[in-house]
Parts: sequence; C-alpha cells; structure tokens
Amino acid sequence: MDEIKTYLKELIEDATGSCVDDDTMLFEEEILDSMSILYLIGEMESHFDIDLPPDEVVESNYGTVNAMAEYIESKL
Amino acid sequence: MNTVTDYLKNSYINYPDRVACIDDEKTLTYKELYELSDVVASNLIDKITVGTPIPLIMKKSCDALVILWGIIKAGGCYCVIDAMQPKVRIESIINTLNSKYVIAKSDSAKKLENLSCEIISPESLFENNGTKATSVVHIDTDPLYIMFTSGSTGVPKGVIVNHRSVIDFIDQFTTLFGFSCEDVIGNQAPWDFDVSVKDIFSAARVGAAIRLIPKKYFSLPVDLVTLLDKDKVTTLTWAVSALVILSSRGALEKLAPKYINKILFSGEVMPVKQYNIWRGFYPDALFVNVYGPTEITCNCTYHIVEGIYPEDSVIPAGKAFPNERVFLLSDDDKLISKDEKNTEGEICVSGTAVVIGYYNNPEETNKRFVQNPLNKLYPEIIYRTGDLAYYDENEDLVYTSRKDFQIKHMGHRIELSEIDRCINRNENVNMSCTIFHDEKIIAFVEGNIEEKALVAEMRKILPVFMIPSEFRFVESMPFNNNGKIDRKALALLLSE
Repeated sequence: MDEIKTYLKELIEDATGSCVDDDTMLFEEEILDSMSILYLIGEMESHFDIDLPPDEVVESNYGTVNAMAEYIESKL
Repeated sequence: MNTVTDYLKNSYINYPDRVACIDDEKTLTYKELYELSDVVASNLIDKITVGTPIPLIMKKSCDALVILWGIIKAGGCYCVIDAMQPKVRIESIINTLNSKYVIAKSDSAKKLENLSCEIISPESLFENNGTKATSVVHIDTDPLYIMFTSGSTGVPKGVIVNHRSVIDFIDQFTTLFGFSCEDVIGNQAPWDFDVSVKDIFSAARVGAAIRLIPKKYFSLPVDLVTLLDKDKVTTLTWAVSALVILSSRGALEKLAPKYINKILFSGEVMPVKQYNIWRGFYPDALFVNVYGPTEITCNCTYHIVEGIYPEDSVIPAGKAFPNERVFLLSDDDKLISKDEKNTEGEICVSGTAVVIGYYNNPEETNKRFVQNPLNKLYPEIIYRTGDLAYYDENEDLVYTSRKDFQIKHMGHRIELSEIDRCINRNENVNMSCTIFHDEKIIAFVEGNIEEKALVAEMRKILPVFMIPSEFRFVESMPFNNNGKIDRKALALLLSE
C-alpha cells in the first residue's frame, strides 16, 4: 500500500509540479484537472497493468492519494 | 426596469419560497437571497459610491452569490477574481481597479500581502448591524461588473459593463430561448467569465434556480452527470469545452441527465461530431450556438441548431440578437453585404449591448471602441471584435478565425504576446515567439535555458491554460522582410 502511495505522489508531482499528501483533496484544490487525470490514468494502467474504466473516474476513487491507492489495490 | 436589482426584487415578490440558488452544501430561496443581500449591502454601503469596483475573491457558492447581489444593491460594481491565479496577475488586476477594499477569505491573504487594500472577510458582511441599507439611486448607465481578459500589452484589460447593456441582452436571451421559473440553470462558467452573467441574471429575471457547479466536477464527468440528474438541472449555458468533456468521455452513455431541455454553447466552435452525440441523447431539446466577445455583453449572434449535422459542415455563429447590429467590415472599412457570400470581414457590433469600455485604460478603449466608419454624420460607437467571419447561403455568419494573434484556447482568450513577454522575462532567454498551431500553443525560444526551469518560472506568472504545451529551442529566430519574427517560417519547422 505504501509503495503504491509513494508511486502515486511521485507521478502527481511529475505531472503537475505539486507535492501532495496522502489526504490532499486533489480536485477540490485544483491540483488535478480534466487533462492531467487522463494522463495519470494512462500511466497507472501501464505501470500496474490494470484496466481503469472511465465510468469509475469519480471523486470517491480518485479524490485523494489514499482513495486512489485503495482503488488501485482493489484492482490488483 | 432600470437596473438588475429590479430583476431580483420581482422574483422575491413573485416567488419568495422558490429556490434561487443551490451549491454542494446548501440551498437558498429568493426570500433568503433577497434579505441576506440586504444585510451585505448595509455593511458595504458606507464603503462604496456608485460604480466603485469591489473585487471578490471567493469560490462560487450561495454565500458568494449573496455577496455579489449585496455589492450590486450597495451601488457597487462587482469584479470576481479567481483565487487560484498567480499572485502577479491578481496584483495587476487589483492595481488596475485601484481598489481600497477587497472581499476575500483569509486563505487568499498571502496572495494579497503586497497590496495596500483593506481585506473584508465574507463572514463579516453577514453580521446584521441593525441598519437598513438606504436605497441607492442607480441609473441604468451605472456599471454592474468588470471582467478581465488577457490584454495585448500583457496587462489584463477590465471590460466594464453597465446595467442597461445587461438588461438589454438578458431580456432578449431569456425570452428567445424560453427561460422560466421552472428552470434549474446549471452554472458551469466561473464567475470571472461573462458566460456566468447569463446564468446569474437570467435566473434572477425569470425566478429560476441556479445550481452552482464547482470546477472539480468538470474533471469528473460521471460525478457531474450524477449531480445534474439529482438536482434536476434543465438548462446548460456552457462553454463548448465543458460540453465536450461529457460527450467525449462516455459520461452521457453512463447516465444522460433526464431533465435537460436547453443547451446553449459558446466560447469556441462546437465540433459537429460532439454536437451530434449530444443531439442523439436529447432529440427534443433546444440547442443554440451563441457567439460574442465580453465587450458586447455576452453574445451578439445566435443560431438555433436543429437535427443531426453532416460531419463535414460547420455550425454557424448565426444572426444578430434583436436590438443589436452585427455587420462585417472589409480590410478597407467597407460594408460587406449579406449578398456577398463567402467574403471574409471583421465582425463589428453596435447597439446598447456594446459595453462602456476598458476600465482605467483609455488607450485600449479608443483602439477597439471606435466611431462607425460607415457613419460620417453623428457619433456612433461600434466595437471591432477582431474576429473574422463570412455570410453563408442562409445569410448566417460563420466564424473563421482571429484577425490578430489573440487566440481562443480551451475556452480562454489568450494574447500570445503575453506569453512571449513572460518567457522573455527570463534572463537566459534572448527572444521568443509563441504560435498557435493545430490547437496547441507552441513556444519557440532562443536562449540558453532548460525547459523545466523556464516552465517553473512561467507557472508563477501565468495561469495554467497559458503555458505552452510544447517548447522548441532554436539557434536563432527567423525574420521576415519587415524585420518581424517570421511566424510562417516557424510554423513550417513544425510540419517538417
């Protein structure tokens, strides 16, 4: 789990230039937007070799690093 | 009807218990909106005189709407500023306004630390001080709002708009497209864009509810369609790019909100393919393409779009709204008649909806708000949009491109020279030239600097949508015969 979170935080920093915490509200605080989330999804799909369907792109799955890590773990 | 405060007053009298505003946390009725905005006005009235611009740095919310109406009732002129913008840009806007007061939450204080203005907290405006706002004598030529757009000199320009222009437009807009008190208007546009004017004042005029949609939903299309359905939103007056987010990412397939009956779009040319997807889900809804720059109050032309469009066709900008004159001038300032099909000219506008001008900026005002060159007999100010268009076989205007280098990108108006100015600030840059190619902003830079360092610098000054998506570093910049950077030669480099 911690590994996933570390990876996600590095990925977000690369994509947006922002350092985030596990519980930073990524959309509320406008760190992620409609373009960067698509980029993130593509990177995560190839890194973890999983399928992340568009209809699951909701705040409860992607709103924070914590939420994303849990969501990804459920796909592994 | 002399001012927009009459809109709110009428809805308060006719529909006191109807919902006026909904955000993620709460709901306000017209009675609450009216009475609370009186309280706000009474707290502001000693601080402003008619036409004083009051910057409002707040995310949109029911409370922000109350404050906005409070500013208007106190006789002021509102100017919403996005707190997420770089500090330098916020400073530049507030300095242009020369504001003594700014309404802002404490979390924006850092961005305002270099300014000498007094910060009023939103909470303090809701304290009932026992006094009633004495009614301000408004006339319809008093300013109502200021919207900032990117300026050619790199300094943002504040478009200042009076009550009369807004009433003139909103009356036509709501009547033509059948807005009613039954509507729930889904407000996509941030309030520092004039698309929001249509949502806020159309709702007040007809007694409709306005559902404020926070920006984050436009990154989360499935959450967005769920919200639209849950709050029974009927009306979308949205930027094309926002509609495309729902049609291009499968959100409508997942859940097409059931109550939508009107979709009005603007900001850029709607891709026919995306329109057809929307039309497929809403065969009976009203679809309208509206066109116009902030300087003529929201829109000056409209085109009701019917049926499915062939993929290779273009949705026209359409015909003028009632009580506005929209015409094309050739390069030598001759009128292009509607019979001259396919002849390109600059779109020009006259009428009450042409705004006052640019705030605190007579030079720019005089450049764009000019005497009608076709009228030699009496003063008649027109606005030259700088947009090029032609008439099609139905006498509808069809937009083609910008006359100068001001571009439209993801719904934002951007002056490319402002980006160059920002790049050129860097001491390791000799010169730069930013062009718009294949819907992408591409910067050509001559100098000794890494892309990463340059972007980091630029992020401090420019909003994200103005950061070029690609940088090309060149040994030396090509010039044309006039000694200007050769943009065509640069574009050729890209196709190589």
